[in-house]
Amino acid sequence: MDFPDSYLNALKGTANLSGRRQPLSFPPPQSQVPDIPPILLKEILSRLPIRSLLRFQCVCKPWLKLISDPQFSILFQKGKIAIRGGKGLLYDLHLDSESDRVSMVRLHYPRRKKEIGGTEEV
Amino acid sequence: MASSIENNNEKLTLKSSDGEEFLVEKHVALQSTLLQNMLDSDCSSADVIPLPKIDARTLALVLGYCKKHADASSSKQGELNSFDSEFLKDMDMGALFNLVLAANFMEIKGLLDIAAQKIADTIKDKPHQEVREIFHVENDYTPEEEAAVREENRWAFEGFP
Repeated sequence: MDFPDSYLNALKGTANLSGRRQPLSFPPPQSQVPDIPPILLKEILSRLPIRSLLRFQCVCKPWLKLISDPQFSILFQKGKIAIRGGKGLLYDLHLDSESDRVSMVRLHYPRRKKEIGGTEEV
Repeated sequence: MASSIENNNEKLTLKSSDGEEFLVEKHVALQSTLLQNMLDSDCSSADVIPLPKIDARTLALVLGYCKKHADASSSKQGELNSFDSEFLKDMDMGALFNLVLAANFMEIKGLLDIAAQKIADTIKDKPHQEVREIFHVENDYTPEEEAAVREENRWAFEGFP
């Protein structure tokens, strides 16, 4: 079910972080942040760790599209902890310190977490 | 022979979007592939080169970067690295974004790399809601859609609002 914007705005007050389809009012940045064309947005996002990228899929739909795009993965820099599985899929490895298990996260849609278990060597 | 020595001392005039003019030594300007191509194609150094997308504040920063990198010898990579991190250290987001745009327009690969990396380093541990603010991005998800994307990447959100 969809909440009306007015309801969300009232709920969140002025710092309306999850307000939808409404111009948001924030304290102005120290200097004006210009619009960044998509090509430069890719330049910036391709330098992020995969964990940040997965979170930033929630920023907005265009970001989800960009980050999920298989073409995007070729921008990744060396040294990033990711492996390429069959069928060109990109996986990220996640070490859970509590259970000491390594999980494999498929980066591209459908994003699912898969246990590959134990202290498996990568 | 004499003319090539003369050319090395040539200066160019660059004009920012807000009308300020900058006199730049040619070897400094050559850090920019855009300017290099213009010089190669016989653009007269007497001409004023307009940079309509770059304001004076940003252009001054860009030229400071170019001068340091043009003057340093290649053996001083360590010195350049510490210059780079000092150069970006206290820069706010607006200035960094303007630098990325300017470096892209003027084709200064090294500057584009360090500025984009600095932005990435600044946002990487921030909640996505804050990243929306920084990039002035409108959230076009319904709460349900956002929750679904979040659920698929639950581990990435551990410790985040």
